Amino acid sequence: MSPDERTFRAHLKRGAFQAGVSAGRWRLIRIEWPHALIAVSAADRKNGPEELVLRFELTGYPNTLPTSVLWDIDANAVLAEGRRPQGERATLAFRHNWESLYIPCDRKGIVGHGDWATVHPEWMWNETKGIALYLQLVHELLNEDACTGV
Amino acid sequence: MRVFLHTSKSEFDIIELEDTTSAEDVLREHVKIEEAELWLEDADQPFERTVTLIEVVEEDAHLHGSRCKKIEATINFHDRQETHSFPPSATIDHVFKYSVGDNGFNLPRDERPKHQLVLCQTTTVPDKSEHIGSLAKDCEICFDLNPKKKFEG
Repeated sequence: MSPDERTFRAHLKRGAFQAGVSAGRWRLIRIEWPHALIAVSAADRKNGPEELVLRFELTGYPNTLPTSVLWDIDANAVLAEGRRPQGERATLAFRHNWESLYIPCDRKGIVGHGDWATVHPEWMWNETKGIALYLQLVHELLNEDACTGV
Repeated sequence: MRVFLHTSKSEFDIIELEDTTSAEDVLREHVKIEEAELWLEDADQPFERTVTLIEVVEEDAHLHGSRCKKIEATINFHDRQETHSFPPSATIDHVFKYSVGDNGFNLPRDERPKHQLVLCQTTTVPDKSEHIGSLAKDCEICFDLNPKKKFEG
């Protein structure tokens, strides 16, 4: 097993990730290194899904930032535009015309956004917090009142 | 039985309780802080030291070991300031709800979810599941209640 996969699996056993699982905030579906599928629960909204699946690419974890896309497990493909969460922050974060989640702790999301380190320092990638930080942000976006479903 | 144990460390641990594990056992073997007491998450009072934990907590319960009996929290919002004491096992979610609620700054209901607590003089936004006692220094803590920002640019 490569060091990055070993570290990722170790982070999944830590309190922050396991407490999220226990609280129903997220769950690991499977790991197919360097990818992992993790479902994050969403607030109950009309026409909204109970959870959304992220397909992570984790090469170099945690020194290299993770990146993820919303994933349609049945189609084994990126989630279609019409099935993405909408809302004040969610529409931007889960935009279809970007090759990843559009958030500061995403490897591709942060590209071209040097100002985010100043505007959103709390959500910049943190190797110590690891994957739990990324999932906390996604869970927050999917569960805030302004997120109106799909 | 598995439970989560929070202390003054930023990360919390997973520990296993045996049938006979008491609060005193957890304090001695895992918390290792002099004069500490053990609390259930968001509880107002600590456990009796002799209590057998599996009789009073559930699987995946969150416990907190701390020598602080209360955490004195100062919360800033614009030019206003509130102070309130919380048990060390209070979650950030609990403190946030107090801060925006009727006994705090009484924000309009539709404005409340648009805000978040940030540790004063830092950029740290604690997760809602974290315990205030894990973030406090000398049994005190300070937050700024700030609006959330969109990711754009």
